[in-house]
Amino acid sequence: MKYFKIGILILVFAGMAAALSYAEDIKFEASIDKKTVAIGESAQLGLTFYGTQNVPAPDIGNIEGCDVRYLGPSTMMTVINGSVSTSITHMYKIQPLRMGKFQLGPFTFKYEGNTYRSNEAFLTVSEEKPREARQEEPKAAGGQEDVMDSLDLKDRLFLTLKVGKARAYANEIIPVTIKFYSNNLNISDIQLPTFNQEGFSKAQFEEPKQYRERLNGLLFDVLEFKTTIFGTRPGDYKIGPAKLKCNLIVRKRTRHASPLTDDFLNEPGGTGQYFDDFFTRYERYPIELKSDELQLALSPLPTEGRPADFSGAIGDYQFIFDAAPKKVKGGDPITLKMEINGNGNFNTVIIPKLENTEGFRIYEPQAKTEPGRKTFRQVLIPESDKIYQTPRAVFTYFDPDKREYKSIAHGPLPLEVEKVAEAPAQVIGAPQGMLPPAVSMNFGSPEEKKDAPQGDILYIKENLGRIHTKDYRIYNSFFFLLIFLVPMVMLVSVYVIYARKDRMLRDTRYAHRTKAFKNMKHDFMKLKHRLRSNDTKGFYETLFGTLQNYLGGRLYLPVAGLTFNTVESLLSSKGVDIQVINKVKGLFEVCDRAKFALSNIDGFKMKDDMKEFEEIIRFFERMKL
Amino acid sequence: MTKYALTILILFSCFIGCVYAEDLPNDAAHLFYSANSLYEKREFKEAVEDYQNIIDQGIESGPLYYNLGNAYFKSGKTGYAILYYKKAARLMPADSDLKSNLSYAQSLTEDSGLQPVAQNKFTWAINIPFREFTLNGIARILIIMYLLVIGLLAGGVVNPVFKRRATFIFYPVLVLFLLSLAGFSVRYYSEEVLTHGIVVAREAECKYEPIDKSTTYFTLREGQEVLVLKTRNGWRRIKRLDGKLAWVKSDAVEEI
Repeated sequence: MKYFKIGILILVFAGMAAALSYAEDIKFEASIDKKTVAIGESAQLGLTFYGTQNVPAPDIGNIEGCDVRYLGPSTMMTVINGSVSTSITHMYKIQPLRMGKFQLGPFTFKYEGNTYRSNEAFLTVSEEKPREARQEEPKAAGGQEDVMDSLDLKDRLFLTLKVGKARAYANEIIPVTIKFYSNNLNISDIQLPTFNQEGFSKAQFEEPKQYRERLNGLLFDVLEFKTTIFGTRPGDYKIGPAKLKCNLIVRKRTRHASPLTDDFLNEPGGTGQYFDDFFTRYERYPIELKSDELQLALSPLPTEGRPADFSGAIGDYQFIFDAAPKKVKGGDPITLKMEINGNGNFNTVIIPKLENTEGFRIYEPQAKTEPGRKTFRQVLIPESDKIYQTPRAVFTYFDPDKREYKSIAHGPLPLEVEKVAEAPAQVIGAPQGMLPPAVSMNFGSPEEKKDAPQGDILYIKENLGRIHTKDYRIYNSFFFLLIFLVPMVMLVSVYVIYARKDRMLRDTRYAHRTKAFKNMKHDFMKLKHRLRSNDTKGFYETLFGTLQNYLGGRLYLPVAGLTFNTVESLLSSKGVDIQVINKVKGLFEVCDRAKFALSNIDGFKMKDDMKEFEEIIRFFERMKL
Repeated sequence: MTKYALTILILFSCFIGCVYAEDLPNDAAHLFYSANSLYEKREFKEAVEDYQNIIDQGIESGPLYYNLGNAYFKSGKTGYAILYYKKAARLMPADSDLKSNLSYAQSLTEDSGLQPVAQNKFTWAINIPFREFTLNGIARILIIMYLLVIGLLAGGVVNPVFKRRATFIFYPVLVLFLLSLAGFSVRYYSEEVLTHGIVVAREAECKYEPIDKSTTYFTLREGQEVLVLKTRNGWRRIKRLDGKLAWVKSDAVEEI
């Protein structure tokens, strides 16, 4: 409960402090939406109070030569990078009654005992544009009003280029800022700016910042691009112009002006705007903005007071120095970590100079550059146990702001080196992962002095491992495809076979029908044989039996004693063509006749009947019964 | 039926046998040991040549690329070292020595803080179980899972009792098959469809156009990884891991 009360108190105080800070930060600004209007047109004056939303509308009185009408307030709250800002804008309609240049403001306003004063805004009123001219333009352009012409783009869309300093030293980092300004325009596809930087190296652009800025009474959306450059040769240079490509999105109205409706629709506040919205389309105009050029002079570094160990580093730096481990066994490496951080050209920063390195074996240092710092790792191995401290490190640089050379020295740091009787030699080919870093070696072994270990990589592999051709990709081989296709085909086949088998068991009508066709095929061979051997009696007996069996199976009828009369009614009821029924009848009859009067039948007749039989089979196999 | 099954089994064995069967040069091992000896003698440039000779014979292996990467590293060519470690990683992704050396070499490159564009979470998650496998390994898992699925389906068709009993195993196998299919697809896209490259020059100026005099857009540092989109007239169209596109001289970037 106690903590709860304290929490409430803190909140109350924080709220009061916030309110006070808001009250203190009120800013009063005047802005106008157009700098130039024609007589008869109006402009909007905005009086904005930043840091509050409670200020009532100021009474701006009469402005000579203008009709002033208060339109109302509008409030705004913006959150940029976590900070909240509020504002209220009181809008006034300014209707000039004569031509000329009007100064609006500065306005003063008293609120809660404080007096606020705004900037001034200017409005130029020109001659009225003839109405006819306004109407002719759309006609000439095929009914389209080119909004581009009416825009005064130079004042509302531009690019600026600024460098941090007009005079700099060679290799000094110079900040470059390119700002893209747009006032109340619809802009898209903004590309990264480019600028002439001949004689200079340029860093990448930082993430662009977006904010609003008031300039000459107009509120601009600003996109700010920042980068840095540095030049290596002294001399006079030109920087820029900066260029930026983007698309200007312009509204185009395509409605045809009609003399009958024009007056009505174009009345202020009339229905015209709704029709305009309906007929409006947007077009992109690619534009390239160009800034002014800048002069930049590069001077050489002063020779006066230049330390002997100066290596060219330029900037404002801090130097951190450390050694690890500080207690080692003889032959073990010590890593000196030297970090240079701050602002400056890290390309010019090299490893700080080490002093008093006697008694150490020194290896090639490793450098790593990150934004805002450069880290050096220097491996040293003490060559005897009589070493008690690390070398001293000195970093010298030139500070361009203070125009002087500076040196930062660190160390020496205390060391404790233990003596070892004999360090085991590193066995090449020892199991992987068990080897110490490559710097682990015999104490003072003379052969190793020539070896400069370049990092803590693990040792090579002894076996070649599983080798194969470079293009060995099992998934690209034909067999890979086959392994996928063959089982799939087999699965489908197995499924089809077993599905058929299953149906044969469950569907007796289907089983009869299938069996009938299968038997018929078998009997058909017999028939052909009888036909070839001219065995008339045998042929017709077989034909009769085959016909009986096939029709019985196909029509799901008992085969024994099956005659034409049995099948006729069934075939008729199933809508079988009468010609086919007659053919079946004909075959039954000829088979009957053949039992008693073979003399009337010759080889041709048999062939004809065989053909008839084939046609009947084909018909029944095609037909769904 | 048993005869058919046996025939099919033999046929498949032949297919799989064919997939693995390869003709490889005999002197590769000899050259490899010779290169290792040179490495041990700290004659890294000569070792690089010998390892390279093996690769020129048209063969590859994880340890071969790994050792070549080590030799390049010792020669001070960090870009080439990373290139060959990356190649080795495709053949032995689970090797801890390789992971250690690669991460160490990468830590020495400038601009190592440049973060790649975040990978799609779904593809990242799919890749988790297959991180330690090569693409060929995932393809083999896929084949096994596929054959299991087909086998279980065929068994179910042939024998309803088997179908009932194998249902509980079928669905996990099906899930594993789909997972390996997704894993294979993701890895295949990453390794075979996309072309990755490593900057092997100390610095590579990336330009807006494939022309020497074109404006420099940004500079790549040795060891940085990029995507190679196309190669034309001695220039490569590259995409930096943060999505920026530019042209760079072909010899500055080597494809993995």
